Amino acid sequence: MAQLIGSLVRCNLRGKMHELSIAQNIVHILHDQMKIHKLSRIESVSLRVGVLRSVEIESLSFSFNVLTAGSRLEGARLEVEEVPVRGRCMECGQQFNVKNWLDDCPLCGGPRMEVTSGKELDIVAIEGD
Amino acid sequence: MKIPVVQKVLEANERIGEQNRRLFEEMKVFVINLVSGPGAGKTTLLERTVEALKDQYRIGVIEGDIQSTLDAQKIASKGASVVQINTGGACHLDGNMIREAIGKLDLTTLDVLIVENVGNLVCPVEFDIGEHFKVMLLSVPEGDDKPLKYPLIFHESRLLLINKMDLLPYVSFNVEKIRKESLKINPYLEIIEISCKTGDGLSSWFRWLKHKAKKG
Repeated sequence: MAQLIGSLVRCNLRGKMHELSIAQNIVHILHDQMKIHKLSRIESVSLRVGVLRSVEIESLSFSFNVLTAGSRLEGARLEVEEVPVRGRCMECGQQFNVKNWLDDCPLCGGPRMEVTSGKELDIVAIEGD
Repeated sequence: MKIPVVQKVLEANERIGEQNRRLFEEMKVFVINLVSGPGAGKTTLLERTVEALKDQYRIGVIEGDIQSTLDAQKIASKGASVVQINTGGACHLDGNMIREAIGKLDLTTLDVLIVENVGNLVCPVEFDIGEHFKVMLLSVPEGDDKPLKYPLIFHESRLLLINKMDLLPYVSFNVEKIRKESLKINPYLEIIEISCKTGDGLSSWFRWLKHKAKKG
């Protein structure tokens, strides 16, 4: 397995390899959850992934499939809900979806805002038996 | 059977990062996580920084590279305690690698620890290593389109150092555009323009580091 991971990392040398580490973390959590809930099989895993995380879903699923091949997790599906970036205007407090970083507050035109969501990277549900 | 679980995917790493941070605080070591793309000048910045501050601060460096000890040797020759981590392919350092590396450093002999992360604008930002601040280094030849392409690294950094300012006449790079766009993404970001080659602006960086280290 170690070698397989090595070749996977090298063929992905385009600055988008955190998907592999993220997939490894998901695998660890799933093994724990299978023990806790006495599951023998996992059908699907629901994830919430903030857009700011720059996670490529295809690359994440690919890594996950490679890591789980031949294990009890083989065949488990990742179902990803992408969470948009939201911000809060630092002048008037209005919350809004950030479609373009250069936009000002849609209510008061204030130029400064704080990000309130879009950095999520959570497992929210597991389906299995 | 559907089981609701709410768990952060990177919780295990965040826990280790938090343990590292507590240890750094106990030992009174101020820790910077230096992040940038490859070739932005992290190693040269560290050489300059160690040279300038080694009489006032005991500086340690953790050097993250996919391979080789070239950078670590350069920095050690300037008078810092250096630990090399070769990630062997991995694109970032994580909390666990730092925990191992600090086992090889005597934290009681250090005031400041600078972690030179692997050159990459995406992955290193995802993994908390227990630092007090992330400092991002961006060099002029890389272009001024980086904030909108890689917003997370700008969002998570406390300071942006714009390096290789001496090359400004030769490349198309709009400093005002970078300032405006990065402050849109992170209104708390501080920005200092430097050139490690000519030394311009480095005194502002040293001042920033001393000021933050005193408080941290």
